[in-house]
Amino acid sequence: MNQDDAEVIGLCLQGDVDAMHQLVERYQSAVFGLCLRILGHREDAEDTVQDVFLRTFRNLEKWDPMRPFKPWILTIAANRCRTALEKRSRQARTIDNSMDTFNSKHSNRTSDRTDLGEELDLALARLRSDYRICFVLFYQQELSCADISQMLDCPVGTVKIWLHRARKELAEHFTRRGIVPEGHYELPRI
Amino acid sequence: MNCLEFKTVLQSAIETRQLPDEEGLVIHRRQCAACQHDWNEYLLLAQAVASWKESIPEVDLTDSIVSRWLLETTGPVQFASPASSSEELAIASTQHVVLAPDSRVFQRRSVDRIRARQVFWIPGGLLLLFFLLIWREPSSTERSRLLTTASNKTNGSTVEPPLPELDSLLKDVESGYWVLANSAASTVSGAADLLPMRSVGMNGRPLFWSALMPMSSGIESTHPVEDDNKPSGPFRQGFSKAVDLLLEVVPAADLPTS
Repeated sequence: MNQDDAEVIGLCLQGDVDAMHQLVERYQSAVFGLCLRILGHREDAEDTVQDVFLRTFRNLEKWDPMRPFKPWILTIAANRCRTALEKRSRQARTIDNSMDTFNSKHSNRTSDRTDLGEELDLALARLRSDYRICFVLFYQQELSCADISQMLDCPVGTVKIWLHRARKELAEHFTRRGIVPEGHYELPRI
Repeated sequence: MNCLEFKTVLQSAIETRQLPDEEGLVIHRRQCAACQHDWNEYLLLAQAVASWKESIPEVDLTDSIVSRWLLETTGPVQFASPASSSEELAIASTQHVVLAPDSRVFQRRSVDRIRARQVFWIPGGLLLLFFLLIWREPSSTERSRLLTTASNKTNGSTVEPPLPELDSLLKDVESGYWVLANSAASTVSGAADLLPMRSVGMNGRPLFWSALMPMSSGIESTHPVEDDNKPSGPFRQGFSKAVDLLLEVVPAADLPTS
């Protein structure tokens, strides 16, 4: 339990505006990073972040102080991202056009570390939403498989399978794009 | 180390985010192409994730989130008009003035009142429209009144027809009725040749008379015929012709004596 979080949230429940500012400043980067990686669109991510915090404030009384606050708010964010993706799929708004633009823009460039991150973004956008959410929660938010299974309300084995498939599909994307690991690169801690 | 052990170590390294013991793995992946492929994929993904995590743009949505929350909890925000008396007043006038919660409650009550009115007015209007339609449509009572008027005219009463169309319709019905009666009389006169005239009924009359007399008397009593120009004229002529024919055909001894 984060005692500081509990104090800030207690002040928020009493209507302290400064505490609200403090809470948003503390978690907006994590929530925004999750939304941006899952949705792949900055404006959509910003709208979703605002929606997430408004829902958080509305349901702040339901938060259990004995449990950490970050997984709780990230669960709200993941659910809102799921809803946004479903709405996007209903509107038949595909990202193929942006993908083609991206491909033509970067087709003649050699891969460096920055391009590798962009390539990962590109490949993530083609993943199934469950795989994408799972991958982002695991690698970006550095949550454990058990935490992710609680957040997504599914078994731990399912989370591991989704992660494995996501990694496989991303690796296949890199292979199709002709991207190979750099030999001199020092293995990072992931 | 075999392939299964290699994959187990690699999977554990992925899940725990711990660096794998590369020295132990390197010997095996040099001998196994499949495990070398898995290692390359792991390495490539590790490099991509490392650069991917660094590329999140900064964002600051604190003010917009908190202001939206305050707007949601305390009510609509109004902007005060800028003051021009002094610089301090001008700065103070740009601050948002939050309406009291009472005003929000009042707005909710107004909305509730509007909804309640809608609930009552829409069905009421539909009911009024229904009654208007019923009023315009002639009722069964009105129809029976019209028919009674037509019947009175047929019986010779002096009630005026309510509508000229109805009057012409009744005339058509009346003429059609008499044409039908005339046809029936002709048929009876034709059938008189075929009936056995010597049969005697229960009252001493032949069956032919017992069959014809009530019919003729009934028609005569209910529809008195004054001249042949009336629609009943042809019927009377046909009936008289039939009776004359019968009187000629039937022998006098067979006629009733009374």
